[in-house]
Amino acid sequence: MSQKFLIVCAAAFFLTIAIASIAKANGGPHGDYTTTTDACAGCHRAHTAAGANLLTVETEYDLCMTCHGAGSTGANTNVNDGIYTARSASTTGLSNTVNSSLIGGGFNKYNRLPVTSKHDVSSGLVIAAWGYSGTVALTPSRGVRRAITSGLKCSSCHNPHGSTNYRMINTSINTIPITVTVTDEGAAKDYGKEHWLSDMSSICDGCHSAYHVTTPGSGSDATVAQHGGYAHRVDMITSNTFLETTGWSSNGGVTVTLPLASQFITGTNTNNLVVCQTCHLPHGSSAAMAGFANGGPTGVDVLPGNTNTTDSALLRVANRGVCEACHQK
Amino acid sequence: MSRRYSTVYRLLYLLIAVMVCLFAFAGTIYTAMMQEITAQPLPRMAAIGAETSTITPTLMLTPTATLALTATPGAIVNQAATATPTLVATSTSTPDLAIATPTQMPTVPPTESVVLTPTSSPTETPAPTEGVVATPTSSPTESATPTASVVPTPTPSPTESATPTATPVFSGTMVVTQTAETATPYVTATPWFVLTATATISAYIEISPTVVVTATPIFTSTPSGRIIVHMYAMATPIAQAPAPTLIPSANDPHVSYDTSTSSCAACHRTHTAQGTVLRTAALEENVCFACHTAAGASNPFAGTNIQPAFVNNTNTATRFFKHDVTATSGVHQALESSLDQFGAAKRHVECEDCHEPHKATRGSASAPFLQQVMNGTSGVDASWTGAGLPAGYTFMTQAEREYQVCFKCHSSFTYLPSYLPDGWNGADYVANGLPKLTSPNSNQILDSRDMAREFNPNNASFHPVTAQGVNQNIPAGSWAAGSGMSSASMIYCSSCHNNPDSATQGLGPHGSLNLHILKGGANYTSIDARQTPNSKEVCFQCHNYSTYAGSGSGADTNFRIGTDNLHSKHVAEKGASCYACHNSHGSEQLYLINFDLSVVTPNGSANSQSAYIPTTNGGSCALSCHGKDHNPLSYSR
Repeated sequence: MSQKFLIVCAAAFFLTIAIASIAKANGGPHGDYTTTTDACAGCHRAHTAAGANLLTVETEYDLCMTCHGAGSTGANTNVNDGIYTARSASTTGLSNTVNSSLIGGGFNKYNRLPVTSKHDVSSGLVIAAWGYSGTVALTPSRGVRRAITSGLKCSSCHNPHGSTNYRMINTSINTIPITVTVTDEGAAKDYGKEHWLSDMSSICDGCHSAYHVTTPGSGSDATVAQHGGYAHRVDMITSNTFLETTGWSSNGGVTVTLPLASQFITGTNTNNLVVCQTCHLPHGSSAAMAGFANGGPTGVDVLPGNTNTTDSALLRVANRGVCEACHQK
Repeated sequence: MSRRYSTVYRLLYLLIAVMVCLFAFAGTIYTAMMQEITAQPLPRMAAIGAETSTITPTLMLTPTATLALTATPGAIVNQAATATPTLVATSTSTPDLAIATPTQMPTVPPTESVVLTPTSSPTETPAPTEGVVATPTSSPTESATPTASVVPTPTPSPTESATPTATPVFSGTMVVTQTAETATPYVTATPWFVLTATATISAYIEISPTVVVTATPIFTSTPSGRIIVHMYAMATPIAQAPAPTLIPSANDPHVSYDTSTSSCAACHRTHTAQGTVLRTAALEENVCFACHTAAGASNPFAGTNIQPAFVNNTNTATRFFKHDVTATSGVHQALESSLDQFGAAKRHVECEDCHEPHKATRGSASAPFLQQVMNGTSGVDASWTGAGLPAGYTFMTQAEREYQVCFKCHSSFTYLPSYLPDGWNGADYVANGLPKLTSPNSNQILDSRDMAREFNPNNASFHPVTAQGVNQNIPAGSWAAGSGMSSASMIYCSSCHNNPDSATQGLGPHGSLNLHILKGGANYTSIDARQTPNSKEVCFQCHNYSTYAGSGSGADTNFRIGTDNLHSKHVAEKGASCYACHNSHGSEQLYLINFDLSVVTPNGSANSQSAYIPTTNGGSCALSCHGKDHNPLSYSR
């Protein structure tokens, strides 16, 4: 009796070890493949495929949306509306720790409002990275420094077959090797809360390398910024750690909470690092842009880098609330 | 909200109450106390105690009396009523006279002091006449006990012995305590000299949550041997909160940031910035000019159109019509604070040297306190312990007074330039045209580019930028109509250095058609051309042109013989410029007097300031001007 028990325990233990290294959505078709898996049929048809790569539907985007879209029951991460359906909906709020907004945003709606900017993965076309001045003669040029090698799709960033990276992020984006450390969220996955570590910004670096500036003083030192201009530093420690939990408001107005990454994988989760995703939503944002945030002081002009009413640059908060939350002028 | 208004009304009432109390006290608190101490003709004294055959009074000239008023809302009336200034002067026997150079305070041995009391003893000799305190000339062996009489009336000959007959206006006594060192007497040209101690109280109250008003007697010698004791009141705010923000429109990006603000995007770009501190433009001023230019389709937010003040005026190496913000790029450093960053090779000016873009707002202010558009700007405060150069400087991350912002570059806090500036002769620009600044003549007391030195409140005279003026007896009729000026006024640097086209180009010393960035409709004449100054020169914004350069009544000026207006005689009739006799900023002589030795020749070995000798009721000049000898010529009112 005890021997059987021990063997079962041992088998369970080794099975757990074997599969723990693959990050996957719990229970979905995105990994954990065995020789008797049925996961392939979740997305592919061998002989009657409708789309390229033997997909069951015509486009990759439509395929993903069959489970991750509005009204779908295949997954509780509704990236179309930016909602985490496992948690009851709330009629208010922006904070991902309190209600059901996905921390990554949504492709068509976010916080129940239409998006004003998104990573448009629906077309699969090659598009320029935001702020890129390559088509406009500007000195210095700005925006992406890497060539974009392929169209923008869900699989540009995520590996549908699983990945050793956090949130199934590809180990290679735009041909650039990417490592994003996994944190063990435990059995109950919580897509309403981030478990970010210090390499979160490297995801964006695959395409937006010009903005992945980590050297101190880059705002005033032109030799630091790679595209010849000046850029805001990322991956720096902030003392405003309250932003993640209680948020901050000035003059009793709107309270802004911004997610922060943690410096350490073990030990105290400090949550004090500013990464790209602290200010930006990776999927899409419905932040409203007005005043100086609509085009800048001279209105909408040829200067790449302006937000406007139809391009909120994936910012989490309306106008420049993300600036004020830390700089508190 | 109502709390804030009730406080405002309460403070208004307190202001009225304070003013009533102060004016009531003007009758009992003396406004001028004249004491003259005269002495026998003396040879030049090289050291204290060298002369024993003649007695001259000793003045100990470090002030010890202070008047402190702490005004808090609700208590200000009582405080003002009970705080009586006490000035005590004591004197002992055998005083020695030491007169310092104009930049030093006269000194006496510490053991001696001068007693100046309102009461006189008829048995003591000599007893001063009205306005004359001590005349210890009758006997070398007697001790002179100067007495103080607080009398504004004229005095007879200072050598008379007479019993004081005037009723003191103020019944206090003045203590003069000496701590400074001996210095060589300054004046040798005149056979005798006058030591005069005067103290005036003037008050300036700034209503703020808590303000301290201090009045400290200051003792200064003048080049003609006149010791001036004066006291000015300086109001020091304990805490100066910026005025409530008045945003002219929803488009003001400079204040009132909250978590839905778009103002950051007016000037900054996070990832695509072109200039340091993440500015949208590479050149510092272009960030400002994006909005502070002419309104139009490309300027939907239209701030004050200030750009023409810079664009329409052009500097040369020796002629300055604007603070040229386009002259440098990349020299200004955010949060610069050390003197090296403001002068020499780093000398620069950008918009943000005078305007803090995250704090600039609108509202009212009165001199000398910082205007709201400069709210939050850094500045430099000077420490003045005596006349002349400041003892030191303190950098302030947030200035409280306008002149502190200007001192960052226009004082000896940093390195000052040495170019020879152009001047104006009434018709054309003249190279090296500020002769009192650059003269090699050793008798020319030079002007200085160090404004902290020029406006030192310990100087004998100065335009009232840092403190109220020394001369509180300027006739009311001498002020230009509508200027709102009085003897008690204080002014800004920008009261004179401003844009005459401010209606269309904005207020401030940004640029001007006039040389030296001056107000007015004509250039300031600094090269004498024997023609009356233009009525549109900057001086006449405040000083009545008719009085000083026209045919105005003699009663409106103190430079007169009876009703004969001597300003008219010199300026209107003879064509002297203001510059020929007066400094623009400050002087070691009374009344901003400092003669331009390129047109005025002092007699004997007098210099450009000692050639004028003030008396209680007038003065005299020992000089020659265009061949007209004043040897000396005197005037008395």
